[in-house]
Amino acid sequence: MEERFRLGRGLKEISQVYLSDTARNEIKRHGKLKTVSGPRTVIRVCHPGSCLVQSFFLANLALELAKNRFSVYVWDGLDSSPVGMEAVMKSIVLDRKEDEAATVRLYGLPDILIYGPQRHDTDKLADLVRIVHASDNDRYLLVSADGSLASAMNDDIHAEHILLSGTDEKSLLQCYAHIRVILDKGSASGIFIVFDGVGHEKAAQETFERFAAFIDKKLNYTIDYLGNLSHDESLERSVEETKPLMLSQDRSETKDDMVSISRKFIHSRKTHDNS
Amino acid sequence: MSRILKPVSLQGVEYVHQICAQYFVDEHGFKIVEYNLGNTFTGKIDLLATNSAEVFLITLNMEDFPGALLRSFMGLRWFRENLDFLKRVYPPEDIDLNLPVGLIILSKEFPPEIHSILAEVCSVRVHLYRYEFFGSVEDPDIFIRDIRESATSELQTDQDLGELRKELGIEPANMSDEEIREFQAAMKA
Repeated sequence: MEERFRLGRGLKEISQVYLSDTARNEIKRHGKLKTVSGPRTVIRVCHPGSCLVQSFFLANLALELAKNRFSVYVWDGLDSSPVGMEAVMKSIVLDRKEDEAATVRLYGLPDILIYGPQRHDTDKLADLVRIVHASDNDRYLLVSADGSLASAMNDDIHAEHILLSGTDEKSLLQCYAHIRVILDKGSASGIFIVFDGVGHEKAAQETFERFAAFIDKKLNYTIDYLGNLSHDESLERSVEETKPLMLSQDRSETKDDMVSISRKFIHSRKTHDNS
Repeated sequence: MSRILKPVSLQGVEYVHQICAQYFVDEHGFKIVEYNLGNTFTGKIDLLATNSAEVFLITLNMEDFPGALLRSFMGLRWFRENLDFLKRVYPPEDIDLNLPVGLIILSKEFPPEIHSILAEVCSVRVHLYRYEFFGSVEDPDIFIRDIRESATSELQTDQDLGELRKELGIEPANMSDEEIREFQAAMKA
């Protein structure tokens, strides 16, 4: 039988997704989560093992930042891939002209603007970095890296890094290699780790402690742990429906993890600011 | 721990069972109490063994892993349903059936993340052993190893580190063999 909506709830897409065709650029954040200045608002995200999970993670992180009243720019290094940011958020991206940024506009929240090397030259990326650095720390630039070490070596952006990784030995070794390159380049103002799809949080925490201890010993650097992103069917559904999980009304383990990781990340700058 | 046993006749599954039994007796000090308990419809155990601390229900996978996994679980169910009967058949001096039960699966291949999957869903301990045949059909050797013990050192022993760098695309990081080995040891600790 066809699903019937109750009277007074409005259109499903509007009530659940809060789409709006009116820009809300004038909206300012409330200042509760004041960030530290400079590079801490440029975030480079990389999952060497899965472009899809990387885009999924970024899409949801962008929404959480927008929810906290931050304007978000995305530079999507995977924009030519079928699992780029625009692809995984397709159901909520507004129609656009060829050379414009893909825009996600949710009612009452600052826009999320998605650029990428396929449609924009690297000067645009430099512009975005300048805009974010010149702002009153109310704008974020999320850079979705292409996952290769070569890309990490050629990337001159000074940023905070979020690395997603499995906890098997190969994935961790790959992650370690990325951290090594990032630190060699001196382009990090912080490195955060998110584990991807680990069954037990306790096991993930123990693995992180071993991993962090090794990095501290070998590279003399302290990394931070944001959490473990479990995989359940809500993740698959979100990718299939091209609608970020943060917009779903249903609770799920993956959504809870994503919310917890995002909040911990945002809270980390609040803590930094207070100290 | 690994062991190469030879020769192995591939003519009969029973003979392979005996070779595997020999591995567990020689390498792990198991006592093999019985071969081929139960039946394929209600649950079958290829080898019933013990080491005085645990009872092991051993399944040897000669075909596909999902089938062997199901067979192992069915074997456990059969074992529990027939425990009273088994206690009458096997005297305590042969095997103490009140000991905790563990499953052992020998297979050529295992799906990725199988350890964490089994840890998540199983209430009993499951030990996994990989076996491989080498040599020719006429004169084969069998190689068995505990993949739990060797999981983290597998790369180090079996895989050339140059190949590993290429596979993971980490050559640009210029990590030495020593650094990679140190990393592997640290993650294993």
